[in-house]
Parts: sequence; structure tokens; C-alpha cells
Amino acid sequence: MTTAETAAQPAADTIGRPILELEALCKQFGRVNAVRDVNLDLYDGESIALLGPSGSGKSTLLALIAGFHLPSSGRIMLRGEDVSRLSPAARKIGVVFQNYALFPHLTVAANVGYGLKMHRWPKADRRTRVEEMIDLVGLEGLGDRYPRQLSGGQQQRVALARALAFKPDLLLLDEPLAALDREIRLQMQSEIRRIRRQLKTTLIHVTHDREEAMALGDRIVILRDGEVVAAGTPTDLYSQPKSSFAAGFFSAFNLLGVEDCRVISETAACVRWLGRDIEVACDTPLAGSGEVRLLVPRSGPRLGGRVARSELALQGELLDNVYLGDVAELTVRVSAGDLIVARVPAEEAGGASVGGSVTLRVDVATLRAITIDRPSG
Amino acid sequence: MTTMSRRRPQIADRLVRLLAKIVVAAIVVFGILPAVMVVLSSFSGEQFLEFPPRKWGFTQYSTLFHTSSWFHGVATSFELAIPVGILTVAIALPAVFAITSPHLSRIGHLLEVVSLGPLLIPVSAYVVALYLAFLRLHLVGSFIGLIFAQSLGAVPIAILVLASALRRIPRNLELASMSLGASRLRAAVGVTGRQLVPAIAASFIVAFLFSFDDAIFVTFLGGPSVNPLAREIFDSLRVGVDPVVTAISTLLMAFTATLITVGAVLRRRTS
Repeated sequence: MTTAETAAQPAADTIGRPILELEALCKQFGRVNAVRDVNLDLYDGESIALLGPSGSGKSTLLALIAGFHLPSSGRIMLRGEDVSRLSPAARKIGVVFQNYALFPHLTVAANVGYGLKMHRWPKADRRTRVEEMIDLVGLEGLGDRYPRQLSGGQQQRVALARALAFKPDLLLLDEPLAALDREIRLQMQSEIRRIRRQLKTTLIHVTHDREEAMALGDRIVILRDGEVVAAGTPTDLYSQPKSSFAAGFFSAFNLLGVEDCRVISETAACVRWLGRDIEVACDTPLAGSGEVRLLVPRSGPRLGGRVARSELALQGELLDNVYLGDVAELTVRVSAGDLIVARVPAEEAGGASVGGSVTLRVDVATLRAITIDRPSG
Repeated sequence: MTTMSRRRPQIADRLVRLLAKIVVAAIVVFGILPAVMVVLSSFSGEQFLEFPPRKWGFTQYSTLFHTSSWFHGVATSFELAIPVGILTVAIALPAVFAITSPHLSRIGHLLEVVSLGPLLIPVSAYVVALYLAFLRLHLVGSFIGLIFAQSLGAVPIAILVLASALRRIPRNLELASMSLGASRLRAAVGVTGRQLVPAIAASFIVAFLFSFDDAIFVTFLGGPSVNPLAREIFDSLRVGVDPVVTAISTLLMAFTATLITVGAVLRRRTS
């Protein structure tokens, strides 16, 4: 008996082993490298968000895992078994599609029960499971409806129930919330979190929305041009970006070049920036190779007012002032090459006019230095 | 807002609407009126063709139902049209799966252009070419040959109907079905095929009507022995004007209109 068949009760040797292992996975379409040398482990109950701009290969990667494409090279291991060449049907992986892909000729109940029927569940078990799943996603009493009679959010719930009903080892979500209005999107986001906690689902979800990635992923994998450029917990990626691309993707920081850098200790360095020597913290030791960058948080700088001793006063030209409700987003040119984007309380920015000169106060304690891998290629 | 600036677009609007009305009226007059004339003359009580009829009656219809040769024609038409419908769908259905397949994008395009080719060639030229080929193959006057020839003519229309329906069915449905445990064949037949049923029926009707209404293929390729209704009408008009033709035409129009309506409803259901 293979391990996949005893999925309900993991065999001893699968405990502590990742549910899904991607080994040097590659996919070429003609001469285009859609996925390049992706290595990834996913553990039981874990959730990974594949984040990247369109064309980054994240959907292709998902299609490879689901079995809709065959890899050009590399392996996909599911519960320790090589499934790289298996048909989607043989993989026990549930998929939620971007536009839900509900069967229009079947009722909600029949949609949810489709996977059970294909996996030859006995009729009575099927009925109880379908009812259970419909209740789980909060669609009680709508089992007899057809997909076209449901709202977008409701269709999304049906898609989720259908993909989870047959107890797959892994759930894949392809841009699950992209087609929904903002309000329903946030609601669905917390729904997915609740269902995940309840069923302890292992899942991978693809998105281009960083907030969605942070809300749904225990770990985030950032893809660009088919390659993994950064991976880590949302906190790691948000506060300690390792590449300028990752930093740019979350846009929590301004990344600025420094004129000089002297390492003081493992956790501190002295950088020369805008003609001033500043002692700043570094979370990881500054490595010998790579370039040193100064991280200036977007939220934190203040506009005008008295400059405290712990603060740095940055004078510059105000290039833009966008009112966002609670905060205003200012773009300030602090030197010839350096722009700082700062989110300051809206009432402070009210009087600042574009084109004028402003002073930003930045608390030195919020600055950090990091080493960035030199952009490859 | 001043009244001037509002009135201008209104005048343009009215002009466009008036033009649309004229076009529709022209369609009605030139398209439907001849049909109405035929229908009205079919209810003439005389033994000859006249319009408008001076005496109303069912003379044409009673003559029609007492002439067995017309019934032979109807029977032959069905014997031709049903196999043509089936054969056309059997050719067009696998073809559209190939044409729309994402794996064959370039060849698919080529296939589509080639398969729609017969639509671009004038029917008479096409039929003459077929006639020459049929002479060589000794197929002139054969029933089977005619079924193949008419199917050839109907395939492009069936492909248009089926391909547009198939393109409207999201590919994801099949993938979803496979991820839920269905085999490739089961996903293709049970999900995509199931969605395609109305379009398949519609393309059958289109091919059926193509054969039923066809007089050109039959005249060239049917030889003396194959005489469906459309050809009988044609031949009867060649000798002289038989008023019974008006009754046949009226019944034929009713029959065709019913089938077209059914086809249109079926096609709408696919979307």
C-alpha cells in the first residue's frame, strides 16, 4: 500500500517529512522559461502564498503542482511519492480556480459532491459530506440552487467546498479573491482563514496582492521571471527584505544607497548618508559581498515640527502629496538621486504644497542597514 | 443646461432611429413579402396560379395530398437530410476540439481556415468541381455520394456553430473536473460535452436544413434517380408553373421556421 492511499492516517515515515516537495522544478514553453529551478518544501498544515507580478510564473507553478502541465525537468513529491508525471486525477489535490469554474449544469450540492462521486464514495457518505461542506462554507439551504443563481462570493464558497470535500492532501488556490469586490474580498479572506484553522488544511495560494499574501500565508514565496527571489514569513519579508525587488514589492521601506559604510559590530554599522555619519542597527551581519542599503520606513517620518535630538532632519522638495484618509503619502526629493516616500498623519500634510520645501523628521532608531544581493544578470 | 445643447443630439438620435426603421421596413417588404405572397396564393381555390386569389380554398393542399410523387420527395429529403446531419456533426465535432485546442494553436488556426474554405468558393463552381470528381469515382447518382457531398457543404456552418459554443465554455471546467478525480475522457465528455449538447443539436439542425433545402448539389450529383422535395419543386417549375408548389412552399417554410427557432433556442442555451 502506498502512503498516498493511507492519507487519512499518515504512516510513521511521513511524519516530519514535508507533504509537498518541489525539487529543481523547471518548465519551458518553447524558449520561454516559465518556471526556473524552484525548490520548495511544504509541511502538514502549512500555508504558502506564491506572490509575484503577472508573468512571474506563479500560476504556471500552481498548474505544475496540480498536474495541468508536466514539468520540463525536476520532481514533484507528494507525501514522499513522485507525482511529477501523474494525471491531475491521481494526485488528490484540490484546486480553486480564479473564476471558480463551477459546473453550470449542476446544482451547488452536485458541484460539491462531484469529487466524491469521482472518488467513488458510497452514496450515503456522499450526502452527509456534501451537507457538512455546504454548512462549513455557510451556504445552508442553497444546495438546490444553480451556480448562476449565486453571487460571486457565494460561488467562491461553493468552489472552496467542492475542492475540499474529497479530503485532498493539499489545496491550491489560484488568485481566489481577485474577482471579488473589496468588501467581499476581505470577508472571504477571513472565511478562508477560519476554514483553514477548522480543517487544518495544507494550502498553496497564488496572488499578486501582498496584503492577501500576508493574510493567508504562513510563509510567502516571491517569484520573478519564474524564479524564487525571496521566501520567508511575512514578518521576515516585510521587515527584513533581502533584495531590492522584495523590498519594493512590499514597499514598506525606502531603500537608499549609502556613500560609505563601516561595520562596528554584528548588529551595528556606521553609514555615511547625505554627508552625515549615522550609527544604525543591522538585524543580520552585513556581508562582505553585496551592496549596503539604508532602510527608511515609509510609516514613521513626520513632517515639520521641532527636531528632537534622536531625530534626523531631512530637507527636500515636495514632489507629491496624496491624501489617503488617515494618512497622506508624501514624495520628497532629499538629494539629487534620493526620493523618500513617507506616510505622515493627514493633518500634518494638509498645508504642504507640492513644489515647496519641506522638512522630514526621521527617528534614527527606525533606520537600519541591510546587504542586498547584487541584481543578477 | 440649455435647451439648445440638449436638442441637437435628440435630432441626430431621431434621424438614426428613422433610418433604422426604413431599413427594417425594406427587409420586411423585400424579404418577407414574397413569402407572404406565396402563402396567400397557396390558399387560392383555383387550379392555376394567381395573386391575389379571387377565390379562397384548399385546392392546392388537396391536390398535394393526393399526389404520391410529392410524398416520395419528402421521404427522400428526410432519407438524405438525417444522415447528412449525423455525418456533419460526426465530422465537425472532433474538428472543433482540435481547432480550439490550446496545444494546437497554430495548426488549429490553419485547420479552421481550411475547414471554412468551402464557404468562400461559389457553390456552383464547387458543385461543378465535385461533379467532375464524382464522374471519375462513379458516384454520380449514388445516394451515399450525395450524402457525403452535402455534408461537405454543411460542415463549415456546423463548425462555426460548434466552435463559437466551445470557445464560450471555460477550459477551467475540464481542469476542475480532472482535479476532482475525473479522467481526461470523462472530463471532456461529461463536462465540456455536456455543455455542448445544445450546440450539437443546433449544428445537426443546420446541416439537416442545408440538405433539406439543397437543390444545387442534388441537381448536379443526384443523377436521375435521387429526387428529394427541393429538386421536385425545381423540376416542376422548369416545365411550367404548378400551383401546388405554393402549398409545398408554405408547408416547407413552416417546417424550416420551426427548426430554425428550435436551433436558435438551443444555441442561446449554450451561452
